[in-house]
Parts: sequence; C-alpha cells; structure tokens
Amino acid sequence: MSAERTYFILYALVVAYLCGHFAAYLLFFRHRGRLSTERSVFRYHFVSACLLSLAAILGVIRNPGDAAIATAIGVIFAHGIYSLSFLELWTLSQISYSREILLLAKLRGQFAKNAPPPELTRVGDSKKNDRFESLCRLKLLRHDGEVIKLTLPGRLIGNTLRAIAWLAHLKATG
Amino acid sequence: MWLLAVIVFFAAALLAHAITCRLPIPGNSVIRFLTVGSALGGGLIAVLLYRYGVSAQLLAGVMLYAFACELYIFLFTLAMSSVSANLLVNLATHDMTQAEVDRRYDSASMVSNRIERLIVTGLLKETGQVIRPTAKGLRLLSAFDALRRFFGHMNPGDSRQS
Repeated sequence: MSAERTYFILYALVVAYLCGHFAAYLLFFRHRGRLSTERSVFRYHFVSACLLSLAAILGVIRNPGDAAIATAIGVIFAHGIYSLSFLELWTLSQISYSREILLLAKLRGQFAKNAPPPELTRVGDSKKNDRFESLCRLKLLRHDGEVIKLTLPGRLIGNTLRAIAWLAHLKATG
Repeated sequence: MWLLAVIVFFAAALLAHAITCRLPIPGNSVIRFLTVGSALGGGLIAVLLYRYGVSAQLLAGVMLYAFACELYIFLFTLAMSSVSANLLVNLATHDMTQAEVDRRYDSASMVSNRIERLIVTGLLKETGQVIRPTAKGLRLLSAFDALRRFFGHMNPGDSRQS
C-alpha cells in the first residue's frame, strides 16, 4: 500500500472516531445531565483531543517522515475544527443574550425602546454577575483592595482580544 | 514549506480583513472575513496542489488554515459581543474600581446596546419608539430553539414560550 493511501485511511479513521465521539454525546450524554455544564462539555472534548494528539505523536515516532508529521498535524486540527464548532454552538444556544431579547420581543409582540422590559435588565444583571464570578474563578481577575486588576493570564488574554478587536476594526465591544 | 504557506496565507487573510473592515463597503465583519478568507483559502489550496499534489501535506494545510480561520472568527465575535471579553479588554488598558465596573456595565445600558446591535443587524425593527422582531429575527429565534432542543438545553417551559 502506498504511503499516501495509508495517510488517507488514517484520516478516514479519524473521521470515524469523531463521528463516534459525537454519537456517544447524542446517545449517552445529551439528555442525562452528565454533560450539562460548559466545563464538563469542554472536558469531554479536551480529553478526546489529548488522546488523539497522543496517538498522532506516537504514530510519528513509530513512522517518522514529512507526510507522517503533516498527517499528525492535520488530524489534530481536524479534531480542533470539530470541537471548536461544537463548543461554539453549544455555548451560543445555552447563554445567548440576543436570544433572550428576541424571545421577549416575540412573546410581547413589541416593547418600548426607551423602557425595555425589567426581565431583560434582570437577565443583564445576572449575566454580568455570572461573568464576573467566572473570570475571578478562572483567576483572570483579582481584587486588590477596592481596585479590580487583571492577573498575568488575564492581561495576556485581554491584550490578545484588544489586538483582535483593533484588527477587525470593532468600534464597540461587549 | 506547506506550514509556511499556511502561515503566509493566514496572515494575508488577517491583513485583507483588517483592510476591508476599514473600507466603506456593505457586509458585517464575519461576511467580510468569510469572503477574503475563502478567496485566500482557495489560493492556498492551489499552491499546495501545485507543490505537493493530492497529499497528506495538502490535507494538513487545509485543516490548519480552516482551524485558524474558525478560531479567528470565534475570537473577534467574542471580542465584539461578550461582556467578559469587553471587561478583559477594558481592564487590559487600565485598572477599575468595583464602582466603575458597575457604572460601565450597568444593565440598562447593556440592554440598550444589545437592542441597538440587533436593530443594526436587522433582527429587530424600530418603528417610532417601539421595537418589534423582524422575520429574520424570528427565523434566528427558531434556529436557536432547534439548537437548544438538540443540545438538551430546553427548560420545561421553553417549548410553550417560543
């Protein structure tokens, strides 16, 4: 069997593995509360990506060469595309603030622009508090007396997002 | 060489996006990036095909480029719409007190900013001082509900609500 054919078979196996990972979520985890939090869904994907990366690295060690390295990188990023798409859709469908506004506009038919319904303000308050607590829990923020400061990882992420916002010419964020 | 080609084409996609976002042309940031990213992705495939043919290097290059593009779209939409991202961006420029945070992230202004954005994107319509959902907004809401059902996020009352 040619080397190229072997690598294409490996890709087919990885696609089958990702389909299996998705099927396991659909059949065993979706409605049973086992993967009901952002953290548990992230862990489900992270562990799988680590296992696949390990297998890819072992494959390169056993059979070194340019095509083997390319295949290892390719399959790791194929998992990355799958996981990122999944996590984006999962999070968007769970916590979207825009959805709450659209839903309320649909249920009420209309509302006044200068006096939005109090439900929306309450949702805004709870989202703000949730996000603030999450950032503290993830150790991206810290309180220094009255002042709120970024930790080193927080500053790194904040500056990266700032650079991206500049690149995409975003005038207002948040 | 294939890895270098991916880096060069992705950097070119970022540069092209930065330029198109500053030009007075129609389309939001995501559409603009999809346009330039797809064109440069096509160029990358052509270069890799010419150099390697249908090979492991071609597939790896496509996977890496697609992942980088998806991650970039995720990050700039996050920077655009996430409260957490906005707080991190603001704190990266200067420290804030709790009172400043409360003032800047006042719920009423957060709601009005979000409503404004939904009007700009054509999901809500403003008639006088009254806000109504558009057909596009209702379609998006149905898509959200389908996703919520799929991922099992529906609460007992959700199906009645929407």
